[in-house]
Amino acid sequence: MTERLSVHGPEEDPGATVVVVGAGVSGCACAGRLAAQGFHVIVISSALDVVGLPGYGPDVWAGAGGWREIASTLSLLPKGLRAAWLDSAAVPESGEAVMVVDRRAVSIQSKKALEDMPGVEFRQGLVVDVRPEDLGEQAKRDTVGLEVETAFAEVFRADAVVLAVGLALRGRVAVGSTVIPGGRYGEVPADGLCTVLEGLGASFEETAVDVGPRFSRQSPAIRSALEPLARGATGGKNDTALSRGLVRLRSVLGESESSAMHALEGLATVSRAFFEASIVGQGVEEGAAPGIGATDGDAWPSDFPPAPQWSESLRPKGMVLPSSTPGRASNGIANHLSSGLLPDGAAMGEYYALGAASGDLLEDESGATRLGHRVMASVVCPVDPKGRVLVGGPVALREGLRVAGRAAGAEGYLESLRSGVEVADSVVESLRDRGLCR
Amino acid sequence: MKGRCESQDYEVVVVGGGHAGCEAALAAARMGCRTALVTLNLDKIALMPCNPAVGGVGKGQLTREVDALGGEQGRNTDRAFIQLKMLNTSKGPAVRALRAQADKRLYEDWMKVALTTTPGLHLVQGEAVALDVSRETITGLRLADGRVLSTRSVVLATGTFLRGKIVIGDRSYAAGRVGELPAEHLSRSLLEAGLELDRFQSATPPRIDGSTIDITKMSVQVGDEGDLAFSHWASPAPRRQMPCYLTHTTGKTHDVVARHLHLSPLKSGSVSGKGPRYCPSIDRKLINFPDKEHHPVFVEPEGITTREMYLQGLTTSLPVFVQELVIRATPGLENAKLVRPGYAVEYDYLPPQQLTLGLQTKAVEGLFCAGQLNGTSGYEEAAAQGLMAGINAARLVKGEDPFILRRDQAYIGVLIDDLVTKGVDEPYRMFTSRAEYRLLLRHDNATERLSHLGHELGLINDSQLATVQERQRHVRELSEALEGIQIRSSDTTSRLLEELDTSPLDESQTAAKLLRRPQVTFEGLLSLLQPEERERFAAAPAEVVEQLAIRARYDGYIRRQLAEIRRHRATESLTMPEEFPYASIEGLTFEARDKLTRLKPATLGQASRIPGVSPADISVLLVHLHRGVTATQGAPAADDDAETDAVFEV
Repeated sequence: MTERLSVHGPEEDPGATVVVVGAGVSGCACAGRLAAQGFHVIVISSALDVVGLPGYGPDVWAGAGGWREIASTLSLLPKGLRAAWLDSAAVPESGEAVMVVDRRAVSIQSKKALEDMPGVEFRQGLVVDVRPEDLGEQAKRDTVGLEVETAFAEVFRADAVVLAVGLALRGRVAVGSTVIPGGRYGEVPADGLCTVLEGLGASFEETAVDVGPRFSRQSPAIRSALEPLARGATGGKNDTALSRGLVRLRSVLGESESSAMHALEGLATVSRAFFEASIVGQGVEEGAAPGIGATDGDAWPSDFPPAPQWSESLRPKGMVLPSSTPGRASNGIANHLSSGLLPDGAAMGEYYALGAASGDLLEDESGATRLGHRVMASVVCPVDPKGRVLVGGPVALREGLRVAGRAAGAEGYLESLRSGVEVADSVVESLRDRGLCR
Repeated sequence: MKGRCESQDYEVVVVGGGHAGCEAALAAARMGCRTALVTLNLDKIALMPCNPAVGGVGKGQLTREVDALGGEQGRNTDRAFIQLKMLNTSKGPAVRALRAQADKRLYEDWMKVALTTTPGLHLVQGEAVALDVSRETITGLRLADGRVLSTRSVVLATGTFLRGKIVIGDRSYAAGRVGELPAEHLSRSLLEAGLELDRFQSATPPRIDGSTIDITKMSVQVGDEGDLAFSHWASPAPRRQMPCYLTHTTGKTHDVVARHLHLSPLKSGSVSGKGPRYCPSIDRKLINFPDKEHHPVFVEPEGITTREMYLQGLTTSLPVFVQELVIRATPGLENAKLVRPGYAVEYDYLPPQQLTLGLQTKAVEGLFCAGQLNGTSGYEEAAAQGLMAGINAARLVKGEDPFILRRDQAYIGVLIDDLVTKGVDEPYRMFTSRAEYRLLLRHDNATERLSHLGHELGLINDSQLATVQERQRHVRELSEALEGIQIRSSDTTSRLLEELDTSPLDESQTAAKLLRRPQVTFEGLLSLLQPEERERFAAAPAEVVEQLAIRARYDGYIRRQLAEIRRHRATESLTMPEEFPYASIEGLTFEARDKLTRLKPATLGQASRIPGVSPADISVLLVHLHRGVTATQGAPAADDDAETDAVFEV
């Protein structure tokens, strides 16, 4: 049997190795934070075509902390990942503390940012088991590592494992009159991991995320809702034009928040330098001198094929923010308009409606490109703030296994990002305690 | 809550957001039909799950034809390519073709922009679970979420998703592509509608981290400079190109494969479907060609923003640890880090003899099928079928006859005729050798052959057609002029010809004739002309010059193929009545009777290509057609000869 396993042993990797399972928002944050501190990180995901994709809506809401919360969360991320979020963000000119990101651009840039960090390795795979390392007859080591096995019989040895699987633990999607499996729409759930966690004595709570419906930018209702914005005539608080994220943050935070601001300013966003590496790395001669500096998102380099996310004509022009008094109009998507309507990216051509996602079909969703749906999943509990599952199980697992992001109960993208970072820090702490840091 | 969901009325509903589905939906919507594209995941439109490339010999011709008819694949490739290259420039024009490496993500993004900005096209995320069929006619499509889309036609373009299962070594799980849920229900609905399904298998090679390869051990493959483009309608934005790298397998690689061959799903039987012979896995290559010492491995970038690279030539579904050994035994890849293991996918396909030449199922009116579902492989084959299925779904809705391309008109015609007439016993891939008239079906004359038809369909606009016609007029004019110009035998001429490495003239000759000499390039010919004539020809655009040169050089061959087409047209265009009583016709072999009854060929020509139908059987049919049942002229127009001659300008 073992002959058939692809085993990635310690002889390849002299330093400490952390396996991060899942490449969503929290997984990327966690991997980036670990790699920035010099660890070898293997990110295992079955969705490598959408690494870092904010999987639900395009809206990144701040909590009570407002813009400062957004700034401080982003400042925890390594530079490239920070750029991925900020550069893809548009914000309302009304000042409300929400970033509306181009999900696709976040994904493309997040993957690029992590690939560019030494020590990060991506691997496609569906993880089915995490267990203490089998040392067999060999002499006992002081610390026992962990093994991570995929559905394709690959086994990775790790000193620590972070499960950042989002809502894939027994994930189900309630849409219309049916419930289909999946942690995100159309994707295979990770049910095998529940068994592992149960072996640790973990129990589960149910959680649910409501995802609003989406509508085509071409649909008449959306067009008429946004038409005043396109003309530049913003009516009031509820419909607002967009500006780029970094500009907005700068004006809100001003000089007072210099440390957070300094960190944010440091990002070169999508400058030529950001992409140069990939071509130079392929052994092509270096071209013109790299342009450096915050570009506020206008600089997809001109000698690459053009990208829709950086095309002025495709950039969404406006959004409608939630109104405190939802109107009750009878036609089309008016109900959703009253609760907010946000652009879902340049290439997407869709608008995301906040609010109602009951799992039932609504009449006014008949023109939707995607129905509102409810993603239900198991969340591990109890988990301490460091991502540790507190009860039972072998010591090695108790020591080495962490849960991050939505699977550990985080809500929203900012909490997921913070959770990824905090869990990474706690992994580092524990590796240090175990004497596994170089 | 089903009751609250009102059905939505469409004229064409396309199932699948891959390369076939996108073309089908765009064509139907552009032809004015209320169209929906239903897909499992709107974040994965036009994904390139295998090779990040479009085109190649045979396939590139298909993409050019799709473009000439108003399809999207060529245009979209132009928006997203990171390398573009003309293949076979040293060979004849029939086998020249473009091939592009695309940035995978950009390809998806730009296709999505095309879809979301097309009026009348509505994207719908959902899983199609059942067809509504009433009196053998499509009435609607049911989605898993309870929605019912009422529609007069459905185009199925489900790729590898119908009961998809992915396999590596002895492990497998249900998925349409890695990490994506398959479509488990639609197959049953197809079987209930009286259609047959079978299993095919396809596979994809591993991807590696491009920063871990040693390019000093490989040769660099760069793109062509200049303004090449897939599309005829717009010039791509200028860009820097990325190189590919070429290495090859060695005895060491082969040893590793041989030692572990017993673990291959091909051997262990965990893959039951039949795989593509022409895109074989490395395990299959070693089984089939044990004596070959090297197989090429192209290392291709997957995009600007990723380090992932694709290993063309190392397709395998061997266990992952073997894949790593195979990769590391290959020069330049000794330290390569695996990012995505290669895997095989097994899926339901619909044996395509169940389709008409218009890609409609014979069992259910209004049900069309396209792409991998029909047993093909490749994005280009998929796009070509998607376009045709979308066009024909729209034409059905409008009460028009199906649009069918003949084998002498287009590779698309060859593709579909091969599929529905001969069927497939492995995933079908296009080659120039499949086209008997390949000197006519060139990459460079796709617009001349097809754009007037695209215009009639409403997919090519007036100004596009005018561009094509203007170019044709220009070629005709200069071509005639070359016939009229006499090059006299003189010392100057002899000297110039000698410089071109060809023999001097004994007597004066037309410029056209001189251009037929292989050594006489167009530029060479210019030096032989009088100044004012030279100026006139030197001003001609490059694509006009190309046509002049090809026409002059291959005139004889082209005429021969045209004569052949004319000879065959007599049988080719004889329509077979739909209820022709094959069973009661004496003289037909048992096999021919059986196959003809099942396949119901549209023409005598199609009947003649059915495997198992002999020339003797065709003679018998010919006699019967002329005797009792009157043969009516069908879809191919009566003035085919005139039309062909006009297109090819003979």
